[in-house]
Amino acid sequence: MQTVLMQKDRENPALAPPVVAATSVTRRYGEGDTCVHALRGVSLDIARGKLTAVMGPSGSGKSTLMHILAGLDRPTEGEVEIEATRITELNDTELTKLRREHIGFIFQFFNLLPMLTAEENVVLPLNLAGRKPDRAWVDELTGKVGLSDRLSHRPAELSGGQQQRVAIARALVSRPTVMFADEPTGNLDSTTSAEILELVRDSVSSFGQTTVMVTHDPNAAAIADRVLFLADGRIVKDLGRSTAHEILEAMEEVSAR
Amino acid sequence: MIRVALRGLFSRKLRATLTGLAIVLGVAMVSGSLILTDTIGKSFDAIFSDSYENSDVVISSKAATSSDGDTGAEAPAFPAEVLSTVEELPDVDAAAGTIEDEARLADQKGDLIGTEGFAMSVDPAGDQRFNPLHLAGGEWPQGEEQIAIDKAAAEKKDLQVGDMVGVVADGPVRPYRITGIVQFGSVDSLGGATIAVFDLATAQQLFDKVGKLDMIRLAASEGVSTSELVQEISPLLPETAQVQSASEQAASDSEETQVGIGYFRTFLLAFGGIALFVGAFVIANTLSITVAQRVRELATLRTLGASRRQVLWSVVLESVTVGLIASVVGLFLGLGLALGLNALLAATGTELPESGLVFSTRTIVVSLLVGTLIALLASLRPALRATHVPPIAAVREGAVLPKSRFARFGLVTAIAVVALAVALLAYGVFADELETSTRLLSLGVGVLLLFLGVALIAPRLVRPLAAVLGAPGAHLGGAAGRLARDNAVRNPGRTASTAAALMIGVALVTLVAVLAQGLRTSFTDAVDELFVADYALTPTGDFGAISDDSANAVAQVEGVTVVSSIRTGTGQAFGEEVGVNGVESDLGHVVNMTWASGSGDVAARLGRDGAFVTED
Repeated sequence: MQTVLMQKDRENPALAPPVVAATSVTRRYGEGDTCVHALRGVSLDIARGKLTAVMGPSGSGKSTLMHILAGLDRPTEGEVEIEATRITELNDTELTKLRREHIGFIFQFFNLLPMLTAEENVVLPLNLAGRKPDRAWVDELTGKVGLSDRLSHRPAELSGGQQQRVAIARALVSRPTVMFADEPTGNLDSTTSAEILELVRDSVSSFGQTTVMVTHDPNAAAIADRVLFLADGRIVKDLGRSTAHEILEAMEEVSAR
Repeated sequence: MIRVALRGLFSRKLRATLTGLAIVLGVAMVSGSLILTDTIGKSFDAIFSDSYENSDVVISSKAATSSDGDTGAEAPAFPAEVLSTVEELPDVDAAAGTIEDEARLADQKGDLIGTEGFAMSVDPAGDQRFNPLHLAGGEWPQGEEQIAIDKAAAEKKDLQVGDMVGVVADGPVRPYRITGIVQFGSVDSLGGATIAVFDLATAQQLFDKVGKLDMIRLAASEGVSTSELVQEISPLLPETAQVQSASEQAASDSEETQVGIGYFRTFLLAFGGIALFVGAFVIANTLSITVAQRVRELATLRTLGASRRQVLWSVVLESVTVGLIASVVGLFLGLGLALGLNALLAATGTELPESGLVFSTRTIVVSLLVGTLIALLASLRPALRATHVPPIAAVREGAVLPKSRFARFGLVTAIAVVALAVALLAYGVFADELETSTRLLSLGVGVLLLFLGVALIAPRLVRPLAAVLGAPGAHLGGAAGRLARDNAVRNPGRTASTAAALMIGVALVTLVAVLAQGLRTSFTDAVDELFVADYALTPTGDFGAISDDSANAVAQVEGVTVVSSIRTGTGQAFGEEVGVNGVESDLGHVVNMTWASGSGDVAARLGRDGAFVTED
């Protein structure tokens, strides 16, 4: 019943349901005295086609939140839905299917497969899902990330920035419902970071790619359509599109509390 | 995914090669054993079937006991009249009688040629269709001074037609002139065995079988079946002769050799099996390490949409690929091994009949299957652990494999396995009246389980052992010494499984050494205890006897006080086959026996119809 309603609602853009929705998510590690509260009740909606940044100091729970939204970790309490599917109730096989169809990942340390070439890395998600790569789409992607002449190189023969470009193309290749980026510039110098951020922003704008990015870098968050601030396991601030300066000020305010 | 697995394997070439090496050796031993024993078996079969080419039915002498040969007892010849009786049967097209016995050839210096010697009679004037021999040069021997010998012996000693050669039958060496060089059937050589060919009368004379025959080969008349002919002849024969179809005769001739080859094969295969067992350990160990190192990579694959099954197969495929390639290499290495063993046997005097190596489909299938399956089985546990890598490990620093679900049962399982192993070993060692095969099986399975059990317990022993053994290192070696000790303790499972391969290796060496020492000791002890005599004179080769002349000659030697002759054979008594020894009255002077009843002079009182028996 609920699903049918959602389907109908989607036809009306004004009532479009969120791509990702979290309801009262808590996450505790350990038991009793040593119990750590990583998330203390987080509810949020991620809008379609938008870039949402999640910011916060170390230990604020921002990484935990992303892991739970992406189905890598399970909440202690609360629910997460992706495209109206309650991912918190899925078993391993269903989660695998969810990852194939709905989720793309960009990692801080790129996580490319060292024995595969750049091109093989890009199409790997399709191969794993048993789907045939759409040649034109793969060419468009590799062109966009600027790797057309590096396709037969191994990750070891590429710079950090180039590796992250391969990773972005890999995350986009299956046209996922939502792309999660975990500190995508955390392991890069500032010039390269700027290029990568531009690429992420560009994929959101040109492909309408819904993206959730966890970062502690105000410059990175400045490309987002919305910036969420976490502190002590709760969302404490929710900004629209902001400049790096505004974000830095908000960060200081959050940290001072 | 297949590409990920294979590329991954390729990027760890050295490790894969070293892993595969264990399988290569195991499979090489398996395929080598099969090829060698097949080859031996086939060449013997060829000899036996060549022996009855063109014959439909064979009449041979029948021993009272089935196991002739072992004890030097030979089936007695039957009267030559049998030949004329069967020749007259209308259903018999042709028949030829021969003497088939043992005689060794000796060169001019009196040294024996080869390791065994067969002797056969031919009828130079008669029908040669039954004759398994054919002339390679010269002509058939005729008269009591002539002989034909086999080509291999002639070539080895550079003997030509016209040369003289010595023959040792039951008596002293006698010289004969070579008139012909012969070859047996389709084989180049009979291994280390030589062939001496005489005409019938000479052979009968030489082997003390005047008026007798050892074998008659017959061909049935047109339209008469083999079984009909066998039934027709059977009632006509004396008690000491039997009739069989040629194929039955060949089969019963080769039976004994095939049984011997079977033992040989099992013995060789056991070594291959042990090598593969070690190989399985090495593979499981290497894969566990590889999986542990690749946690992040495997987790990344999961986040990209790889299912557990795909992860499982990627590890299994990696192992199976190594196993298959290693098996192929091992298979051909085994071919080389068989050649080498063959050469080794030849060098030690046990030359095998040559008819080309037998490389059967069964050898190929068994070798490839065994190596690949071992690799598959060995990969299952690491592969299952790989599937338990959580996807979140892709974003965590220094992620490690989660503990196996069975880890907490580990100690109980290990103790249970060791207990079972000890029970089986105790049963195998102490239980009375077990079939040899049951005993061996119980011991073998017990040993395998003991290895497994020790390997399972070992991780728990690493910590205390490293604490004790690592103490001097930590004190003397400073930081490096402490690092070494802590490294050994850090992942006890890894340390233990590395040590396990070594454990098996050392155990093997010990086993072989103990076994060899045990056999030698018990044998020498038994001989020392039994024989009080200072010297023993035995016939050369497996068969045959020494002539009385030798005993008389030895008795003349200065310093010799007692010579007591013994003749051994086999007989039927108490409803089973027993070894029979003919002894002289002074036996007590040369053999030490304990008399349960009677006394040391029993041997002297035996007379013509007396006998004494062993207590059990």
